[in-house]
Amino acid sequence: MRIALFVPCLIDQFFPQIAVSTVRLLRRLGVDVVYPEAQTCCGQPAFNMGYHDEARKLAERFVEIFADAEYIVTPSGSCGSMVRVFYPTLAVRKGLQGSLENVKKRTYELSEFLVNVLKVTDVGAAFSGRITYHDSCHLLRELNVKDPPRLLLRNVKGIDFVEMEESNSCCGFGGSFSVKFPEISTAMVEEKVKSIEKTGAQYVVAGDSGCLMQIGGMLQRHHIPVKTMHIAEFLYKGISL
Amino acid sequence: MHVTSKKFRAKAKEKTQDLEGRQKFYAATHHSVKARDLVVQGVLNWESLRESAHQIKAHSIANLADLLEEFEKNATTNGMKVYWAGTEEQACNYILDLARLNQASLIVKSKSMVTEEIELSHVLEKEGIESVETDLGEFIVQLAGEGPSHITTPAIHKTREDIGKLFAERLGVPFSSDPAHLTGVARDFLREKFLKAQIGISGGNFAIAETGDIIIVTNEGNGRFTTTVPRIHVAVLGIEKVIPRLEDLSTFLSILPRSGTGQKITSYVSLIRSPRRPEDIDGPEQIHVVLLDNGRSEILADPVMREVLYCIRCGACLNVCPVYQTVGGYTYGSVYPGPIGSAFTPLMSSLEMTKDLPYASSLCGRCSEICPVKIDIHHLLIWLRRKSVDERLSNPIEKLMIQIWFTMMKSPVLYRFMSKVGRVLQPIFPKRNSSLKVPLWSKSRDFPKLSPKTFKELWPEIEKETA
Amino acid sequence: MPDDTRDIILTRIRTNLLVRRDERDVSGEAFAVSNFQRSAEESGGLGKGLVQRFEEELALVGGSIRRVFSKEELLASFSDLCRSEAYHNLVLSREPSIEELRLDEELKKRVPGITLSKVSGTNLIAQLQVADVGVTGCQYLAAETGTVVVRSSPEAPRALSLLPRAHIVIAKEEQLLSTVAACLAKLSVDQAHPSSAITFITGPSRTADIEKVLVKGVHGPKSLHVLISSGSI
Repeated sequence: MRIALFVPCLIDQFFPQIAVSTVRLLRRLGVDVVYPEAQTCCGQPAFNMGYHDEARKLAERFVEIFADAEYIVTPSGSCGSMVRVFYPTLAVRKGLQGSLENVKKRTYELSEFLVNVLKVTDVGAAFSGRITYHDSCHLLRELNVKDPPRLLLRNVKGIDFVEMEESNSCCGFGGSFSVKFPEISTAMVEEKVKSIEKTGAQYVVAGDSGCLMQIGGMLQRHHIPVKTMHIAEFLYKGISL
Repeated sequence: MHVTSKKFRAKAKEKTQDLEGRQKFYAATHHSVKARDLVVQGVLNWESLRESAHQIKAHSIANLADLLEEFEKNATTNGMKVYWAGTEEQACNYILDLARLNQASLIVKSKSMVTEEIELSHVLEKEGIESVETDLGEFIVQLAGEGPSHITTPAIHKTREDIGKLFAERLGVPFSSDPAHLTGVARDFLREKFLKAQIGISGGNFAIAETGDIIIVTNEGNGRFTTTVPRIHVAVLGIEKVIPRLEDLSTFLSILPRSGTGQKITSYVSLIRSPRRPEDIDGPEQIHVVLLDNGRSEILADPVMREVLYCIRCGACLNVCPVYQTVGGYTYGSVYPGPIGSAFTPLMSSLEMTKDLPYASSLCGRCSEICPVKIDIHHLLIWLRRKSVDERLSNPIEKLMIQIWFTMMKSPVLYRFMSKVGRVLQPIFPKRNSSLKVPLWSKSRDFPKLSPKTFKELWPEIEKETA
Repeated sequence: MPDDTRDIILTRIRTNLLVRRDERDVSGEAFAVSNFQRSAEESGGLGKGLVQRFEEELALVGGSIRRVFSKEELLASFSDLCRSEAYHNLVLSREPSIEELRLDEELKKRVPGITLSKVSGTNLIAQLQVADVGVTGCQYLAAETGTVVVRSSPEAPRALSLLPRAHIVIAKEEQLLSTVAACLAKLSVDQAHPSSAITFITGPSRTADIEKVLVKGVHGPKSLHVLISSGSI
């Protein structure tokens, strides 16, 4: 089985280790990974801000690049939903409609790919310690992915998995929202951090780097000793250590 | 409709700084959500009910003109008088004329968002007519000189002490902060008003085309009083409230109370069919139904935004919205706050006056998830953002930045080049402790540094690795 | 009144609705399905028996219920209620179901000091202002929610179940239906006796407008009592 890796620009620029872990994890599970190097961005920032012409053009570019992929996997719920849920709302040019349909059907977020396509719920990882999980909004509500990450995490040997209160409450990132309405965004992540602290977890794991950036940024600013980690990194570390 | 949404940002900032207020409000909204979740949990066919409700509303809006005509015909046959108000001025003037004709000096009102929308109280006040809100929450905010801060719980932002003080000051009663006692005070005060008023004004949750009925869903009994005791009853309804048949009401009765107040059904559901008949010994002598347009028919021209008219005003999206939970109802500067308000208000006013509203959302989607009529609220907000950009309302600096970003994203070569430039320049970027100092972000949170290498740069090595 | 406003509005509605989206035509074909049974299906269902379910639901919303199997039991139960709640002044509807019980005679025998009157066409409000209780029959009951469906009529005016601090409903088991939807279905066809107003009453009046604290008895009655008789009375 071969997948084409789709790397969110945020991960490319700030957290490449998440993409590296994704590649290594998939390879360990017997999956071949190619990385179409021409990719840049799925266009979501422009889309969410209302710049749909720009978003459409980037969408067309994306579809062209990934047109022939059998599976497209991305370690991001928000980028995955941009392709599956929102690309169809952008009137991409007629000639690309067919490819768009294919790309839409074949795009998966990492945890749903592992569980629903590869049928893997235990990657063979081990970690002794307490973790909690944050439901990223797009992953949960646009892609309806709630159980796969939990299955994968609960099956890590030795893990103490604790659900936080309000795990599905927004962390306040929302892309440009975090800087357009910084006070509201901050108030929202304050509540999220309270929930996290209550669990006593050492790590908070999530499937989206935007959320991790927001939550991590808050934890760090207040010197709270909880670490953030992307699920790809967490699972791979659990195998490799 | 009075809109002060331009003040959204400033008000939001103020609200976030009031930590105690935030905690109280947070607790209140969470309480409401818990109650709703509890009562919905036991419903096996909740999703199918939502879908039915959506379909009924879709059909109703798609056939709005026919249904309104059918309603008018039947309501008129039953003895009601139907008035078509194109604008809020027309609606207010009709009611004012009615009041003058009947020399009304006292009017009692039951809860109605639409009467706030048309600013009826203001008009009546100017005329010297006493107009008293009778829903307890509305009565409280009226005494305080405020508007409602929430669709179904207008005084949710006030503590019992606030209310006790208010009653002591304004009604001349001894101070008490016991909710049951305060309710009793309001009951006695308002009963006198009910019995003296010449006109009772209500809203309406639904208008049934097939029978000409007005449906009012309440708990306190003030809705029943308002529509029973005064000689004249005026019901004001947005034109989007009409549904086809009495049987369709059962779907909505299953979802509205659960979503709005966490109840299986409200204490009272009134089906109002006609004024008193010659043989009746009570009931209003006249019933006037004011069908209000005020911009709703214009919304129909946008096939995407049309969905906003499916709203049944339950308030669930407000309770569950993390933005609303943080800033409260007044921040939105509109009679209709929260997620649905952020979609509806720009359409009833203008995008220019309400620029911030569609953007004041992280697009988390909880609103759409909880909406009993399955309105895709957060997607509607994205659509409004698109309209905002198309109408050239965006900040020119933001627009420029998007263009620069877009230019970079179109070209992998430029992208790689700029990535390198960023890393070369990073040492001279402003820092805070050891993280990047980014405007608007770094005031409250740390921001990560650019990684030494991008994934693109790492790939050649990673590619060569074997499992 | 300018009639053209009506036409302007209707024309604008029809014109604007002509704008269609490509994919989603919302003429609502799925809507053609009858919605009569479109009410909440609850886990647990209505299996136990309608009366028992009605009792449970009414109790949940703070209403009280008494079940009786003979006229004598009804009168005894009614009298007991008046004594325990200290109801001294009752106003009765003139509905046939109430008239046939001859409550005004029967209760005077059993409860000393009680005052009973029938709704007055001339001084209704004044009469109800001093009353403790309004007594009515009902049209239907819904087990699903503990709801009583009361129709207004010359014999049972609207204010009777609204002004006094308590409302007593005398119902028969055969009037008990399973759901609110079923009640609406019946009302829909029951055009024989058109009423000017029908009220679905579920428990006493209530509010949670002050800090979400539940308070019973706001503008409507604080107490609701239902007497259901089974068998022939």
